[in-house]
Amino acid sequence: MNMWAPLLAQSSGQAAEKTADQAKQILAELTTWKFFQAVILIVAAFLIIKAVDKCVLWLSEKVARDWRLRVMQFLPFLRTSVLAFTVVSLMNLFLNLSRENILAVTGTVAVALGFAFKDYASSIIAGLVGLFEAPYRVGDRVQIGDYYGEVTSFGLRGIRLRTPSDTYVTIPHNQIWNQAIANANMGQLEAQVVTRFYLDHHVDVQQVKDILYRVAYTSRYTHLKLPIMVVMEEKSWGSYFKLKCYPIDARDEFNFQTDLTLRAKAAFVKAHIPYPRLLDVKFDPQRSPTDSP
Amino acid sequence: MQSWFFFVRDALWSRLPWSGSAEEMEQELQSPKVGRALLQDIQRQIAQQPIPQEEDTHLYTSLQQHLTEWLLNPTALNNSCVILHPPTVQAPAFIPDAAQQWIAQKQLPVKILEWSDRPDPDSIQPKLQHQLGGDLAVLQDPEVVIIPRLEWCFLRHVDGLWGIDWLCKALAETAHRFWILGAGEIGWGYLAQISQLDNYCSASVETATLSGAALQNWLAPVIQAHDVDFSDSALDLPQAEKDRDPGVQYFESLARIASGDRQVAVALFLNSLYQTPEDQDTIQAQHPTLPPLPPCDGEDLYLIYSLLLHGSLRVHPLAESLGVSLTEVQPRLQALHRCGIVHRDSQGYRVNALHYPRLKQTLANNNFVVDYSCD
Repeated sequence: MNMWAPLLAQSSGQAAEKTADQAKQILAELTTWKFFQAVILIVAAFLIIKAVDKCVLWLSEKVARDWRLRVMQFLPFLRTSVLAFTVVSLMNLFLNLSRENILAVTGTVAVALGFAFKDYASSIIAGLVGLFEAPYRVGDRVQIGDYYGEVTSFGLRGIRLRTPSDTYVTIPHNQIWNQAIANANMGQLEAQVVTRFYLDHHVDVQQVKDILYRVAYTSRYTHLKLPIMVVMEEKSWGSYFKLKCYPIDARDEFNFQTDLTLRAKAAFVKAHIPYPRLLDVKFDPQRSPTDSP
Repeated sequence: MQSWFFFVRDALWSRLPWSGSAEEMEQELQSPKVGRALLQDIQRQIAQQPIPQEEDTHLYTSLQQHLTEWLLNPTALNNSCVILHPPTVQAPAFIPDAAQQWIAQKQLPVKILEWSDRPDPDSIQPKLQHQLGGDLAVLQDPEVVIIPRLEWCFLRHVDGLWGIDWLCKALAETAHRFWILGAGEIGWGYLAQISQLDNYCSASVETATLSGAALQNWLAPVIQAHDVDFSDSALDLPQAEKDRDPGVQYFESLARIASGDRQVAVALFLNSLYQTPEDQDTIQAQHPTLPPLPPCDGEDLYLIYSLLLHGSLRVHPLAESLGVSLTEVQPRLQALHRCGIVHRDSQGYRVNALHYPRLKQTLANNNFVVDYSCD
């Protein structure tokens, strides 16, 4: 046992020296000036990203509506470009980027990320895929899981959604691997709005349809060049109408829905169109779940 | 080639956010470049001018052609003609004297819908029926019916389109009646979209676009009366262009910028006049240009579109057409009035013709239906 001890010690000493040599080869000389440059780079990248965000969003609000989403699409590309440039510059500053070193560094980084930042790396890769596959873009109105809203920013790790209640929700990009993403407008300015009306069984269906079409045609928000449709279904509790139409600007979705509902209600009252009386509906435990509004 | 360049440049520029500030516009409005009394005098003289010959002839020829076709074979398929004009026109559609004489020669009775103001939405259809109706099915003798302002026959409101429904029915059922309708192009585009009124109406005529020479001839009496000097308008032109008559060049530019629209051309002409403090006796004209639009947000655009749909509106029907309360409309309207986008006349608020080309482009860029064409 004692005979092998010096040999083992010598071998581990050599391994440590070899690792130290490799690390020396990969790492460039660390100086205060380099740390200072790195700090400057990071601060500059942060400021540039903030400035790009502000400029692109400002410009997108100022140009004509039909150009708004096109301008917003520049945001993720510009952000990614700035980040990529910063990361490469930092690596260039601290590492000797020879071919062998790049292979060694990427291998090490891949292993480290694989264990420590698995989800983070997954989100970044999903973000890069998302840039080209575009399941959502800045300005789109999407439903991801329980959250529905407008995509207001597209970051390295995730997107930010503004919900109808004006809450911002951050959702990581890796949701695109295994989550259904419902996109209402797919880069277009228009998104269909469905407004629901619940009326009594005895209503004059044609009269209700005429009123709903007229309500849609006379709303200031309605995009007149896109189809307007009234769909009806009979339910156990009454007649269920859906008015499907598009606002001029998808952002007005909830104002549009409110406007349609308010004016339709006023017209129903004027035309004495009755609503279903829920007290008349008998409780039926066998009722199909699809019967519910 | 040159017009293509201007088209591309204007289309690109119209999508970018360069616009004047509200303060600049307000300042410009408050300090006219010629004396207010003098400006009003020139405006009055222009209003008294007869319709330009080109417009008159174009309308007469079109109307005569459609009326002749109908007289030869009166059916519900050729019994109507709509005269389309820009929505900034204050006067209703007119029937040229020659066309009136021609109708009189043919001994055709004429019924004109003479309303002095826009009726309430609920009373449009009863009024139309009372004044033009009767039993449409039993009409046998040919007659001509003129509705000078179709804009007054509807309001964008749940109850404001019954008049148009009645009109569609009347157009489809009255072969022995020739209908002449005067309508703003944006209002007509809206009605075509929502009730296919254009399918009921057999013909449409747009008011003629005027050339530079036609505008110069038409405004010649006003220019001579006030001795307007156009030499300054050519100062910025290239050397090769300077040899030409500055007046001719001025009106060519005016016609191009106004796209031949008489109302816009008049507004641009008045806006280009100025007097120097040193010489208050001479009126000079600078090169005509469309002023920048003051910034308008989404809600402003809805309001402006509503005004353009109806030609002119008072505050209450405007609020009804937008589906909002008076308290929401009034401050916005005041702001637009102050910066000169809308102005007020005896019929209510109307969009200023000076801003109409840029506003129309802005609305088109923002998904509004503004591009009805006779073609």
